[in-house]
This record gives sequence, C-alpha cells and structure tokens, in this order.
Amino acid sequence: MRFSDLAAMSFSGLWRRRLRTSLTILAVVIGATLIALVISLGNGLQSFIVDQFGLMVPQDSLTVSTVERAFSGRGGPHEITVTEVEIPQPFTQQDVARIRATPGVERVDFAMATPALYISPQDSERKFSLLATTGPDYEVSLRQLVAGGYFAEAASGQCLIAYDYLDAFGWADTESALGQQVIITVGKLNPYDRDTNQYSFTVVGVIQSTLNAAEVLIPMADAQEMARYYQDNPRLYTEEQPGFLLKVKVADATIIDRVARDIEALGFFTITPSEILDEINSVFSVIQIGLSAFGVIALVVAAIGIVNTLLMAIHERTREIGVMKAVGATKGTVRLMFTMEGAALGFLGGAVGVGLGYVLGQLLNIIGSQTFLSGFPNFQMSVFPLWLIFGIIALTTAISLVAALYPANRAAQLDPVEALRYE
Amino acid sequence: MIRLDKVSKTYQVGDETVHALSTIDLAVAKGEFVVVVGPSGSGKSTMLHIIGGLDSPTSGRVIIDGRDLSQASDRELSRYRNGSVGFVFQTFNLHPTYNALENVALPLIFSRVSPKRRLDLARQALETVGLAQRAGHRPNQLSGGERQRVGIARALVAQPKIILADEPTGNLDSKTGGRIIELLLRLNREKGITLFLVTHDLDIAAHAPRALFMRDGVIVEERRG
Repeated sequence: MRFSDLAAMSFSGLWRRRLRTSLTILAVVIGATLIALVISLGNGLQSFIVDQFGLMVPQDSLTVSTVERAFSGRGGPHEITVTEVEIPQPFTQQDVARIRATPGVERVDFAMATPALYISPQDSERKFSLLATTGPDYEVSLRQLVAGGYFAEAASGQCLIAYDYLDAFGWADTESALGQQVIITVGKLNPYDRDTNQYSFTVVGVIQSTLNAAEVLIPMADAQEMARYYQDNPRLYTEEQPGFLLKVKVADATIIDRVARDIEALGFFTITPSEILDEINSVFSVIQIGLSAFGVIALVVAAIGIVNTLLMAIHERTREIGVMKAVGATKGTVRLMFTMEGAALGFLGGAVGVGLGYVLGQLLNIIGSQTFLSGFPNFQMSVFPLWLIFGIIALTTAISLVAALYPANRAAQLDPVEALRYE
Repeated sequence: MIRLDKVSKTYQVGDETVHALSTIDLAVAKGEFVVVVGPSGSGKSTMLHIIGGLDSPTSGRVIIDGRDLSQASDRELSRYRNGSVGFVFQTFNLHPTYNALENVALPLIFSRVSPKRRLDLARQALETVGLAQRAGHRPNQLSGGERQRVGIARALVAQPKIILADEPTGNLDSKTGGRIIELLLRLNREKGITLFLVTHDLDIAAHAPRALFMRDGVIVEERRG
C-alpha cells in the first residue's frame, strides 16, 4: 500500500466521525498546550535570569570563600570538630597574597557588603529603599547604560542609579537625572546605636533596571567607608582584614576552571559563573520537568481516549475490515492503517496544542510587555524555540502511536470470515 | 486448476464440535461454471471461503494452479485474494463513503497501483458491468441491482481467474437477480473466468453445466448438465 493511500484512508476514517475525532484530539490538545506553555514560560524566565546574571557577573571572574557553604546550617546540636571548616573564618593577608600569586590571577578585590538604610534625592525628606552595590571596573561596566557614563574605578562621590528611580524621585527624564545629588544614609550594625551618617553622590549615569530594580552602584572607596562606619571597624576591607569573600579576576575566561582548581588546592572554595549558571539551569530543568508532568498526565489520559476511539472505530468498521482483507489487505496493512489513524490523532492534537500554546504565550508576552514587564523591553515571557515545537508534536505523535498499537493489532487479527458476517 | 483434497473444517462452538466441511474432494477446471446449492449451514459458504483463501481448512489441501493454499502465509494469501480471486457478496459490502468508482478501485490500492491507473481500470470494470454512467454515485444513491454490479466490478477489477459469488441475488428481486446471474455468466463465457455461484435457486442449478448439492458439510450429489 502506498503511503499517500494509507494517509488518505486514515484521514477519511477520522473525518467520518468528526465529532468523536475532535473530542479525542481535544484531549491531546490540552496536554500538548500545557506542556508547550510550561516549557516556553520556563524558557522565557530562564533566559531572563541568565541574561540578568550576565549583566551582573563577569564571565572572567570567580568568587572565593573560606567555607564551602557559608550558610548550610545542620539540624540539631552537633559537636564542632573542625573549627576552621565549620565556623566561617575571614581571609587573612597571607591568604590574599597566596591567591594573588596563583598563575592566571589578574587581580583580587574584596567583595564588600554595602549596608545602607535608605536613599533620598537632595533637599527632600522622602526616603527610598535601595540595594547599594559596588565592584571593580570590569564588573560595573557590565551594566547597561540608559544615559550618562560610568564612574572611574578610583572615583568617589559618584553613582549610577537604576532607571526606576527616575519615576520614584519624580525626575522628568534621564538627562535631567544626570548631575543630580542623592544622599545615602548608613546606620550601625548594633541596632541600639542610633547614629547615622550621610554620604552624598552625584548621579553620573542611569542604568537599565535589572532583577534588582533598586540598584545604586557606588565606587569601591565609598563602599569601603560606609562598611567601616556600619561595623565600627576602621580597618575593614584592608589587606589585613579582607573579609569573607573575594572577587578574583582571571587573565582570560578560558582558564577560569583551571584557576578555580588551583585556588581550591590552596584550601579555599570557589564558585565560577558557569557553576552558578549550571545551578540555575538545573533548577529550571527540574521545575519544567515537574510542571510538564501535568501535561504528560493529560497526554496519558488522552492516549486512553485514543485507544477507546480506535476500538470503537474498529467495532463500527468490522465489515469494512473484512472486505479489505477479502480484496487483498494483509494483516500488516490493516495494522498500519489503524496505527496511522492513532498517530494522526496525536499529530493533529500536538500541532494544534503547540499552536495554541504559542498564541497564548504571545498573548502573555504582549500583556506582560505593556504592564508588569514594561521595564524589561528585551524580556519575552514565553520563548518558543523550534525544538519545542517539533519536540511536542513528536511526543504526542509517539504517545498516540503507542496507544494505537493494541487496537490496530486487534483489527489486524480479525477473522475475515467473521468480520464479513458481522452485523 | 482448483483441487480440494480431503478438505475438512471444524469449528468449536462451546463444547460442541461443528463439522462445517467433511473430507471434501473436488476438482474444477479453468473456466468452469459451478453452482453450489444447499440449505444454510450445509458448508457451501465455508467451501467458497476456503477456495478464496479467506478461511483455511482444519485438514486437507487446497491446490490452486499447483500451489497449496493451506501452506501459504498471510502475505501470500492476501496477494492471492487480491489478484487471483474476486468475491461477490450477498450484502454487496460496499464502502459507504466511497463512490462506485472508488469502491471498484479498492483492491488495486493494496497492490500499489497508481491512483490514475487505478481509476482507469475501475472505469473499465464499471463499463463491463454496464454502470459507467453511475461511477460518481455513492452506494446509498444506487439501487440494489446497481450495487451488486459495483460489487461485481470490484471483483473483476484486478482481472482474477476465479469469481466466488456467495448468494449474489439473495437481496434482489427475481428480475434484477436474473440480470445479475446473466452478467456473471457472460463474464464466465467471454473472459473465461472460473465461476462459483452459491445459490438457493434450484432453477439455476437445473440449467447449470455443473451443480453441487451440499448438506451437513458433504457434497451429497453432483449433477452435470
């Protein structure tokens, strides 16, 4: 039998029972749409996080700490046996020197915690939340500028603010933001100490909002001063007191894994950007697989529907099957015809489902870009790569093909004499 | 050309063994016209099905042109039914959504004949049975006699050597039935197709060149005219 005849016969078989066929397909559509949407939204969110991550973490730098996981608390009380492993120890001057001497290390910076209470525009009583950050040049320059420029690494009293502050501060546009003064207020680590200190900054640039929409980037010298005031420790973030975390820039991104291994060999712990990315990606894979399970359950239910539909079709067409055998159809041909009918149900359901998922995804993209995601013009909530489209159609086709095997085999095994006599 | 050699067929119905055919011996030459008569349950349809490769004997051999059907695989049997045999049924058994032409072309689908050639051959077969002008009609738009002509055209389309007609006039009035018998006889005469005709009509048996009378799975009488 020619493939074109096979396809034509299968479709005509399905077409004869349009309502039943569409209901069966609907079940496949629901499963396919569910899977398509979940994966496409996951893709969107994942690429968003990965993009954001790329804006914040340089590919050629790694983070070094003295403990494997600074905050991995264990359950009940237990005896501390290896103090330097179980109680976080800060880096020493010698540690920094050893890391700095590691081949491939270009520079080492202290990863400074920059505690701030609030930010206010100059001559205003209003207080706004902020997340002050700092970093060396190569890290700061990853931020996307909307207006203005970056500050020099050695600068002081200048800052970059996230785009969202324009609205908060009531500044008309990005140009008018440049040159404005803002005041960041810093308190004390000890909550009973009510002293505060104010640090004044000139806005030299406006950066695109990231995941951290309240970011204010300040030079390292200012961050150092603020941290020292906060902790009442004038020697914090000097060579003698480097803190708990170091940022290490390597000469080239390609040798980062080798450098990380060398530093770990010194007894420290490292995290590279690709390790963080792997972790993000694996979290997303788990979420996507988990949520897709609902779609797969829907598809399994749909497959049962397909078995039912085909068994009914075979019941109705018993005589026709008998005639086909009488005029020369082999068992294999009959089997193939009904397998094809089942596969067609899955194929159509998958195609419609992916189409529906795509449309819903685009709808979410449009709604999102006009409302809660208007600050992220590059972000697509729903991302449909080609593999997703073909993957889902292949999945639904395969599932229904498997579902069709049992009914198709029953049709193939029908005794033609009895089938012809069947009323 | 057709030889049945001690062919038996038994069915198991519950605890009872039914002998549909009991050690039938039969030889039919090419181009013969054989009428098979008998009450229902006498085994005449079973014999037809076995000759047509639709059913297989419990024991004995079915030799068609020197080949033993009882040893054939499903594929070989299907090919035999497709190209060497044409079945004509009492209830026509036409495909309800296909028109006359498509119904006639059906066997050729399974022998991978191209769609164009398929329809050409089907048209020729419809012409042979005198129904060319009804090619585009569906079975429910045709009269009983016309439907049976479509059935005969379908049996003819692959140019078989044998036509097996199982009470082809059973659902037709006597006048229409007479024309169908005439058509079958003409095919037998003009094309040299071996024709088996199962019927209740003793009148046809009386005028046939060879008639087999069956009862309880046995050929009880054979008459040559």
